[in-house]
Amino acid sequence: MSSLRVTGLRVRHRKTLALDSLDLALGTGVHGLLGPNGAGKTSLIRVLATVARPDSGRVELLGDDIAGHRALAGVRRRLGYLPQEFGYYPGFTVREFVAYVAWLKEVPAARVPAAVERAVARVGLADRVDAKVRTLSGGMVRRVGIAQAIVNDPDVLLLDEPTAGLDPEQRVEFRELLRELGTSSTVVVSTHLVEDVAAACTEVTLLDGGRIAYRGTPEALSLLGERAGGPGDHPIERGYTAALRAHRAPGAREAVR
Amino acid sequence: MTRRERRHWHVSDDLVTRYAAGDLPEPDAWSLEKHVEDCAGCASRVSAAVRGTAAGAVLARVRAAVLESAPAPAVSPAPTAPRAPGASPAPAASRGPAASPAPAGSGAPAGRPAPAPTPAPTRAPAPPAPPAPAARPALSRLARLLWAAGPAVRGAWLPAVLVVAAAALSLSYLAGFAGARALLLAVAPVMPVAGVALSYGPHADPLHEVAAATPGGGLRLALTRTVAVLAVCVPLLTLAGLLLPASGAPAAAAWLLPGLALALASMALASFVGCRVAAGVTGGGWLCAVLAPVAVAPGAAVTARLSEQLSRCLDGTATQAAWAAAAVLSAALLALRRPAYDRPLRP
Amino acid sequence: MGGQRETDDGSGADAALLRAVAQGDAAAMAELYDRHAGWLHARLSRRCADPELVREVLQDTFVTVWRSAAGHRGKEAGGWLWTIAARRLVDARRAQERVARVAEPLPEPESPGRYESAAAPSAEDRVLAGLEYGDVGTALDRISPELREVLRATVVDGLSTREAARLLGIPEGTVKSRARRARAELREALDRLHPSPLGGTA
Repeated sequence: MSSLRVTGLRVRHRKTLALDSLDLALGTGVHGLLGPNGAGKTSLIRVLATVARPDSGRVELLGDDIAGHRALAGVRRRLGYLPQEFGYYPGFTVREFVAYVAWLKEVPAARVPAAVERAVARVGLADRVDAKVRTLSGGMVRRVGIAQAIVNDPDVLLLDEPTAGLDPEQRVEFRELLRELGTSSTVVVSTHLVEDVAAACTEVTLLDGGRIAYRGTPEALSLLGERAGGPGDHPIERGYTAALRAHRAPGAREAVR
Repeated sequence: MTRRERRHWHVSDDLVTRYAAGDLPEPDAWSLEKHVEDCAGCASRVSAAVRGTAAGAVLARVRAAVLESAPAPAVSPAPTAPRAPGASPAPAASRGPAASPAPAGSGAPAGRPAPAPTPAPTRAPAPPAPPAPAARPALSRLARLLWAAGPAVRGAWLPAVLVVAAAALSLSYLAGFAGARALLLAVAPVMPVAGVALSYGPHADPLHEVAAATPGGGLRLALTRTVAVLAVCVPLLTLAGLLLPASGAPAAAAWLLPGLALALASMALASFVGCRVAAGVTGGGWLCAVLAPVAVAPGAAVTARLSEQLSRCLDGTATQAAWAAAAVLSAALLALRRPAYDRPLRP
Repeated sequence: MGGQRETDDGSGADAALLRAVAQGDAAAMAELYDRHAGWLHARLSRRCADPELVREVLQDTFVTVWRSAAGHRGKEAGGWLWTIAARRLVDARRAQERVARVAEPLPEPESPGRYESAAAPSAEDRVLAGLEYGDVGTALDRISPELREVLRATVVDGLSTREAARLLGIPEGTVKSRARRARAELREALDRLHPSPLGGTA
């Protein structure tokens, strides 16, 4: 069963078409969203996060069409979202900040303190829970962002470039967390880092020019790279370039992007 | 590992004591360490001995933190896991109220109905005695609440409100200006409108993108912040008005209904055109209506004209009733437009 | 040396505790903690002079247990806990080092999230086997502290060469060469103590 399904999705960003007749169905697991800059990753995540409204097409989250006002609130309670540009209140402590988002997500007040503790511990910030957000390093702020996204134990978790700013070992830990989250919920992660995909994702979706260029497991993408011999240091990187080339080959229409 | 079968050796009490004290030489310590990995009995004895040393305090602190970090009960797939009766060191209720200070945001009562009562979280694992962080003074709690609820309160808006109130007072008492209250009443209804515009929306709230994806980030949040804005400026400006001599101007509280009506109208209008434009239209409209006749008047008559115009806009039961009606209409329109707040408003 | 208790009284209980912890049982966690945190703390303290870091690693270890207890299989709880703690300590050291000097980029592990298990050659197995009986002690006393340190990290603590290098703050190559020398010297020392058919070098 797919917890997340889009059909004929079209999103315009200013004058360009960010997403073009996109069809996608994702179920439980960790889904890596790869693609060059401007491929439409952020546009897709923002639509799935119910923040941006699609120009046309249908978006179903957890079985509900999110066009309806009533369904939307229910879906949002089960949603976690970390935007690429993650704003925060610098004067809040980590605990206050995550609790504030829990309040926005309508987590029952009785459960908030425990949920906050847990979310903060899961991102490895338990010892900084009472530190002001402005005193934290960039990587730690990013982890606060992840904590706020998971504080309601979401069924659908959308993370836009979550590993940006994390150092290598934090990334390793974060991938561990991703794998754990992916066992029970649908996690969509947009990333530039092939190691993230290789280590944590159960499935890869490669976007290019607002369309899907490739879908498959990380292993299949590696295999494609081995066969096609595209440039790159990592098998997945080779698979990535091979898939992009294959996608761009038939029509020169999108090759410019 | 084959050496498991040969389990006749156990750590002697002397070794345990010396290891706990930290003065067991290396090779003997290694033996103990390897053994303790496999022998739970010796592990307990060594641990008990270490608890008796200076490390005991640290161990207790970490213990509390570890138990505190227990997974939330809702997540556990089997929330009613078998549990030995009486095994729990302490019921969840033993957590002092101070142990979990209500975070600023979650306490915001305005605009939020009481949360759905959940069954008592009996499974929430609680440490026997969590070190309770010092309860914050109530005043700082209130400040944080306002801070969370209304970004405007912590921005340029609050000083602006204070300046308006202070300027009116000093004009009256220091400069002997008779029209101070009229001036204050002319400006006061615009203050909530400005506060609302500065409180909600992508330009005002760094967290807006995250809030936009939450169920409570729409109208509920906008209303909460409007309430925060009103909570600050209603008492402040009304009090300032009371301190000023009337000199022909309407009563100090006369601006309240227009202020409310304009704020609600701004919010309703914002659902079409965005917060800033909406505030410009309603606030600007009010100022034009009040100040336009004054602008054409010759110098000396300014104060009188302003008071006169304000009386027309504020005085009398009929006028106030009209403002009340406008507020109700705006609220009704806002309720109708509620779905527009589901997505980010126009910038 | 006297045997104080029946040997198996704890191991079965430990496994049961871990199962309960996996269910989120705080009482079980408290018991597991009381049983193991003390010796873990002592052992970490012998390997790291910074008490704050030790505290952090100990806490991290048990916080990890909350979510990893379900994945525990077979191995004794004590050994499993130490594996987590040792890795946490290595990670913490590495992070600390990077903060200290904004360092040259560290190589990414080939398989992120997975740690290669330390190769344990037969000489090391012999050391391990000997450890519980104390006869290695005398032999160890004869080798230099730097070599002992490397042996402790690779043999006793079960770290890989890379992890040992990070923990001790020396290059991998040095770990390897010291381990070789330590093994040779140890074998020599052991042979001098108890001539055995296994040790051939002396």
